[in-house]
Amino acid sequence: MMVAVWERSEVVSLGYEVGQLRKSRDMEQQRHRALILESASLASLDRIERLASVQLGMTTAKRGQIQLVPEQPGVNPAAMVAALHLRLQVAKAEETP
Amino acid sequence: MKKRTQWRCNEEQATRRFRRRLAAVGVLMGGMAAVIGWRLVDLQVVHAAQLAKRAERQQERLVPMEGERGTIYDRQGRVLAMNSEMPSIFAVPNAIEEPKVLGAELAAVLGRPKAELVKRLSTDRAFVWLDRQVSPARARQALAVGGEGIGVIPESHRFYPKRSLMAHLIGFTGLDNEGLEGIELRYDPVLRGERGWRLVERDAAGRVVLSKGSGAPKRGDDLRLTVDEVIQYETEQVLDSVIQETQASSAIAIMMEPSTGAILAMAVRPEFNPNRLAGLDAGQWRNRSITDLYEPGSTMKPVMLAGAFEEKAIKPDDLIDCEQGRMMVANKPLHDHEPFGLLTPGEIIQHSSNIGAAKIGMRLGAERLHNWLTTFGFGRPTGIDLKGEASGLLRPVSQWSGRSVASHAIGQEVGVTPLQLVTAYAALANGGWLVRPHLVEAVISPDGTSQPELYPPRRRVISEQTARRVRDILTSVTTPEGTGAQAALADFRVAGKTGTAQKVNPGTHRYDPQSVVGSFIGFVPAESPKFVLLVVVDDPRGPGWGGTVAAPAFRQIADATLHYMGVIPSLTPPAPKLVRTTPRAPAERPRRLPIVTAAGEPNVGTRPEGTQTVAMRIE
Repeated sequence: MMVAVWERSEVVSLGYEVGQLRKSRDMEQQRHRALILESASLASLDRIERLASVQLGMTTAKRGQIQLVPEQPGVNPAAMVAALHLRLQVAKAEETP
Repeated sequence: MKKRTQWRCNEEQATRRFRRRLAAVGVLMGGMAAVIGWRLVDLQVVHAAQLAKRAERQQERLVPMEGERGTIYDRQGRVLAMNSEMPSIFAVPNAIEEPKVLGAELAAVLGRPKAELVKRLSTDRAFVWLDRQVSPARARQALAVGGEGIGVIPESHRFYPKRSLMAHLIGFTGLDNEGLEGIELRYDPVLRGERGWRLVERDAAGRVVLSKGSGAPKRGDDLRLTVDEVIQYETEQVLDSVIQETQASSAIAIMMEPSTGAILAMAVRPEFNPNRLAGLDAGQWRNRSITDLYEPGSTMKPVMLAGAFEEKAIKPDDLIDCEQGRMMVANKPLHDHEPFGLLTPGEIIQHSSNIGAAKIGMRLGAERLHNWLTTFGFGRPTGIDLKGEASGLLRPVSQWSGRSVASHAIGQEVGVTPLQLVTAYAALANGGWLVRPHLVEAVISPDGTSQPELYPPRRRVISEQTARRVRDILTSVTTPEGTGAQAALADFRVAGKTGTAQKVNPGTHRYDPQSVVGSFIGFVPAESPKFVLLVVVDDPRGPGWGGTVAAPAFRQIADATLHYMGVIPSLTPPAPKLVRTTPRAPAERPRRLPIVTAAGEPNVGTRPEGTQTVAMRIE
């Protein structure tokens, strides 16, 4: 008899605990979803552009300021671009009397 | 002695009385025990099943669990639509003593009409909604005002974190999370989860003591769209500028990958915010790119020409007399925007000669022209994965007039949706295949498995040779001599066509020269197109030529998109102009030494001995 009562008491106690944990899990999942939404909202391009132009004074890159070069295996793209610019500079300097 | 006998007699009487009382108590106790026993048997045996069921009804509760609606992502995995919980406020009218007073207080908090709230609170129902999916702050205020008769339940609510971006395409849901427009409507069965349940045992306070079983809800599947947020944003920005500059009533832009039919951007103006639908009418959320018909005008000419090439009704080097800009068709004059003499089919497209195009159409004839327009998909829905797509207007040949062949050849008397035109041009761009335009790339199940959405295979409509011929002709349109010069890009070859169609005045039923639809459709890079792009500007103020209002918008969108995609330029850009920013080194030119970059890369050039590398600015 005592064992049955104890068992029932334990079940009820664990039931409360599981309920609390489930509630806590649901709240965390909800918080996770809210954070994903907030992140997506903060990453909106209209907001980024507004911040960049108004707060940071940035402007859109003009034609020629972005140059695309074909990718070559084993070559660092940054070094390639730097080398390209240097070649241009040297060629121009040599042309100038 | 007598006294002793008397005492003994009294004792016996007391004992008998006691025994009688004891017996009475015993009988009473026995009777009570019998009643209890009988009751126990009655409860435990006779009515056991019935009572157990009643107890279960009191203690157990079946809690429904909503399956969460799936999330919508763009092609790069950025969140476009997602569910989150918001509080909804309900009332238990039976428990409210003064509904009029409470209604007035809640009206001030919720900002809803007092009469409506009082009416809801005055019913004899056990549950009524007062306001759904409100802000947490508002829910807290309502609870503070309402007392015991007011409660709050969290409800799942759809959010669109990018606000108006691609709103016409994604659509929106209703209060009960059912899709009402756009992708939300078309893919509602996929996005909507399955409802589950949980059987719980509650204590007297209503707290859950034990979970006695559950049927787990099924979360809806996620969708990954073909649309790219960045391309869509650039497209919408340009359309906003066009609307601002031209005061046009609406504008549309569609970008499609010609090889697959994947839509990269679909922008419609005016826009709306799907998070705030109150006060909007259907005209604002209608996706005009699939529902609205317009006469395509000259943008139809290349499609007709492709049919003429296929039928060998004309050869690329044939010369057609364009009658110096005026020709009678069915007793009515047909004009060109400037007089032309003999032109090849390519020149007819380049200069957008109506007379030349009409003559090519006449060579094809009504039946074949109608067949080719049908073959390119006009007159029936493209089958895009959106609901409410219009079929377009392509009348049967039996209903054509004497002028209809010429009119159809120049894009009049025919109504198309912008998407139909983009699909037809995709066939010119991809070597002759008609593809199925689509918006969903993959369906992602809750376990993360991605299942590509399957669409009908593409079908060939024209030969590769014809597609190449028309593509080369369209490239000439964006040269300085062509009508689409303003669509040209410095470092890519652009193939395209302008279109300027007069709108029919609903009052006079005649073409109104003051009301036009200007458009430009093209693909780029012409030799291996990454996308087909159509820009339609409806009813712009001032000169509304497609070449002046839509072509510049095309150029801006295409330029930004090609840079974003990282497409290597196909044309050599003009050499950068170098401006010296440091003083010149000594006049004589001494021996040159190799330059080594900071990254250690040798042989990138030489520098004069005894000098430093000069700083240069590239302009």
